[in-house]
Amino acid sequence: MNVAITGWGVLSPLGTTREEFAESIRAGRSGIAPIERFDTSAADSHLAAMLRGPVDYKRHIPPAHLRRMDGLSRQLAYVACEAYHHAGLPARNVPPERRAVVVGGGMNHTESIEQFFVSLLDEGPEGANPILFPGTIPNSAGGLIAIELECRGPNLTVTQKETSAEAALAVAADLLERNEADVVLVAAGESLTPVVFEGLSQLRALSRRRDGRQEGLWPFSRRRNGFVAGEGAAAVVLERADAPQAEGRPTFGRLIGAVECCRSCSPVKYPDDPNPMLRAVESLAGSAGCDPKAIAFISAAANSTRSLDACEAAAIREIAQRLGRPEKNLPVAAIKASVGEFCASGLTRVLAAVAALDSGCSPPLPYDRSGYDLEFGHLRLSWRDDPVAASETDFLHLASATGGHEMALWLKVK
Amino acid sequence: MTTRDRDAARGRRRVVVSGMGIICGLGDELDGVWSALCDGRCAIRPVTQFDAHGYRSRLAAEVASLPPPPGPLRENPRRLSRTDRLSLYAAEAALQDAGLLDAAEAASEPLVRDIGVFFGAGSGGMRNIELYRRAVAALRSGRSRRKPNPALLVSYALNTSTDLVAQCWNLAGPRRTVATVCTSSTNAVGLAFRAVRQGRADIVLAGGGDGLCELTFAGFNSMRAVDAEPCRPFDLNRRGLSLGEGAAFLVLEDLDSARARRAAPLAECLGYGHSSEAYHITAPDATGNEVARALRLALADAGIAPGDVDCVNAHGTATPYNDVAESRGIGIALGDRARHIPISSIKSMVGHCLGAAGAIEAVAAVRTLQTGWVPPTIHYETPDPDCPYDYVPNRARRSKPRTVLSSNYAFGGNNAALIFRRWEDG
Repeated sequence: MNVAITGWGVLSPLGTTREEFAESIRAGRSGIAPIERFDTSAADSHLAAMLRGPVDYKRHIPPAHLRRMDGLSRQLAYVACEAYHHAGLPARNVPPERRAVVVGGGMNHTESIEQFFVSLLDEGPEGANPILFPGTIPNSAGGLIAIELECRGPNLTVTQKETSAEAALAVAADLLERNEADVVLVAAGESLTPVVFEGLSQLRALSRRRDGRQEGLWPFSRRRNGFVAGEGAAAVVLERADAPQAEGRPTFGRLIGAVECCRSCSPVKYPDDPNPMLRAVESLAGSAGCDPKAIAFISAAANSTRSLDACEAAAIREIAQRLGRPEKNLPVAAIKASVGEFCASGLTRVLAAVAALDSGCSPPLPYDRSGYDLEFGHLRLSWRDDPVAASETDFLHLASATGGHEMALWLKVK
Repeated sequence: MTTRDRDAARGRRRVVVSGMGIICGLGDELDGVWSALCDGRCAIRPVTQFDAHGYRSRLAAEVASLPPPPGPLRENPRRLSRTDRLSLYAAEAALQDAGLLDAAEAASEPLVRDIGVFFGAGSGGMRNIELYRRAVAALRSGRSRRKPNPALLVSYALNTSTDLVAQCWNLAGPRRTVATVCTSSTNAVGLAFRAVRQGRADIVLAGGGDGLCELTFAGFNSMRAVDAEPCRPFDLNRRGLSLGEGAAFLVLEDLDSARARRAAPLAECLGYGHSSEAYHITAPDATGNEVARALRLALADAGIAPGDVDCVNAHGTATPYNDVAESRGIGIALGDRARHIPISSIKSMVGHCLGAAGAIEAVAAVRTLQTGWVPPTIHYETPDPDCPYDYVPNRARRSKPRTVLSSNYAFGGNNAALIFRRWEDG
C-alpha cells in the first residue's frame, strides 16, 4: 500500500482552519470544555470537545445547497471541499468518473433523525417532514459531497463505530490500489447531539462527576473513568503515491500500511486481548516501506476508559519490544485528550499526528507532565517540547472499537 | 479466452457462493421463500408493528414472527434490535447451509475461523430508538413512570448487527459495515467478493439486514414515494414502492477453500460494479446513463459481454422515476440483448427491504441459476411504453439462465450491480 494525502481539511474544536488546528495540536491545547449547546443538568457528565465559532460554509457551498444539508452533512461537505481545493483538484483534469468518495460515519445523522422523529412524535404522520427525511439516511453526506464536487466514481459510506474513519481510509486505499479511482475523497465526522450524548450517558460510557470523582479524559491515568465525547469532521484527498511524485505536487503524508484485526466481542465492550493488535502491527512492520526505526511515536486509541487503555498499554509494551524500540524511547500520543472521543475521530487524529510530525514533534498531551497520574509506568507519553529525531518520519496509528474491531495504520510524513 | 482463463492470468481467485440464508416477509427458510417467490405470493400486508393509520400506505412486507436469537445471545434478547434478530437468523442459516456450523459441531469446538463479515445496513436498530424515544416522551409528559431501557440504545450504531454476527460465531476475519441504504448489501456482497478474489479472506459471510421502523415508513410516506396498494414494478399505473423487511447472507468462498472442505458451490460470483450519479440526493438521473455505467462496470469486472447476460434481477422499486431510469439504463448497457431476456422485480412480493434488498435479491439471483426458474413481477397489468422490456409478468418463467445480473440503486445517487453465473464444475 502506498497512497498519498494530497490535500486535507478539518473542522475541530481545536480549529476550523488547517493552520489553526495544526498550531493547537503543536501547542498541546485541548478542545474539551463545559457543554453550552444543550442542557446537561440531568446528566452526570457535562464536558465535551465541541465545535465552536462560526464556519463560513458559503466559502465552498452555495446557500441553496446548504439549505438542504443537516449540520453533519455541511461539515463533511465543507471539509471535503477544503481538501479538494488544498489538493489543487479544481485546476486538474481528473475525470468525474475517476473521483471516488468514501465516508466514515459513526452514529450518522442524528440531528436530522431527531428533528424528523420529534415532529412525528408531536404531530403524528402529518408531522413527517419530507424535506428532512433524505437527511436521515446514512449516506446522505456521501451523496451530497459527490454532487458538490462532481464525483461519479464509487461512493461508499462505511461505519464501524470508533474505527469508522480508519475503515474508510482502508476502503479508499483499496479503491486506489484496484485502480477504480484516481482520487478518493475520504471524509469522516460526527456531530454531538443531545440524543447521542444522552445515549452515551445512559450507557455509562462517559466520564462522570460522581462519588467524588472528577470528569475528564486522562489517557492511561489512574484517574480515568470513561471518555469525554467529541465531535468534528475531517477529510483527505488520497491518491496513488506515484502520481503526485511524478507531477511534482506536494504531499502531506503517505499511508503505507493498514491492517485490521477482529475478534469476538460484545458490541458494548472494547477488546481485552492485546495479542491481535500485536499481530496486526507485526504484519505491518513486515510490509514494504515500514521501518520500525523510523517510527516517531505511536498514536494510541486511548480514550480514558478503564478497559481500552489497559489493553492498549499492554499491547504497546509488546509492540515496542517486537519493533526493537525500547518502550521508554517510543512516545505515545493520546490525541483524544485534545479532541475527545467520537466515532469518526480517527481521521482527525491522523491529521493531528501528521501536522505535529511535519513540524518536528509528537502530538503532546494537553496536561502538565508533573503530577500526571500515569498508571502504566512503562509508557512514555508524549508531552510538550518533546522533539522527534530527524530520522523519525513515520507514526503508527492504533484504533479500537467496541464490538471487537481494531485497526493499525502506518503513515509516513516526511 | 474464458472468464476463468482471464482470472487465472490475472492471478485472481475464483469466488463461489457456498451457502445462503434468508428471512423476509415470505418466510424464514430458503426453499419455502423460493417456492413462494416462484408461486408469485405477495407478503405485502397491513403493518402490525406500529399504528399505520394516517399514512398514505398502511402496507409493508413484514416478517410474521421474529425468530429467537441464536444460543449465545439468548440471554439478553431485549438488547437486540429487530434488525439484529433478523440478521443473526439469516447469518446462522447461511453458515449452516454452507456446512460450516456442522463442521464446527463435529469438531466439538466453536467456529473460530478467519471468516469475514461484510454487512449492508439500512436503518439498523432504529425501531429500538423509536421505542426509547417514545418511552422518554411518555415519561416527560407524565403518561408513564417507567424509565426507558438504555439497552435499547445499544443498536443505534449501524454496525451492531455486524459485530453481533461476528460475536455469535467467533468470526475473526475482516469486517465491514456498508451504509448506502438501498445498495448497502449489494455493496457489502461486492466488497466481500473483492476481498475473497484478492485473497484477503478465504470465506466471507456477506449480506444485509433491515427491520421495518416507523421513521423509514413515515419518511417514504411523507415523500409520497409509496403506493397505497401493493407495489407494481414497471406497470404503467405504478404509484410507488411498498416497504419490506428481512435479512439475507451469502457465504462467499474461494473455490479452492470450498473444494478443500468438499462444499458444493451454488453459483459463482463473477463481477461487481459501483458508481455514483452525483446528480440528486433522492432522484435518479432519468436518462439511465448512470445506471448503465454501474452495469457496464460490473460486466467489465466479470469479463463478460452484454450478450452473455441471460436474466436481470432488477431493482424495480415501482416508483415512477426509478423504473424508467432503470429500464433505460438496462437498455443502454445491454443494448439489443435487453429485449430478449427476462427482467423481473421480486420487490412486488417481498417489498423494498432497503439495506437488505441487495442481499435478498442476490439470493434470488443464485436460486434462479440453480433452478432455472425466473421469479415473476407480480401485480403487473398494464405495460408502460417507457419500460419496454419483458418483466416476467405475474408467472414464473422457466428459462435456464447461465448468467444473472442483480442490481440496486439508492438515495444519494448510489448504484451497484453484481453478476452471478450458474455453477458448472470445472
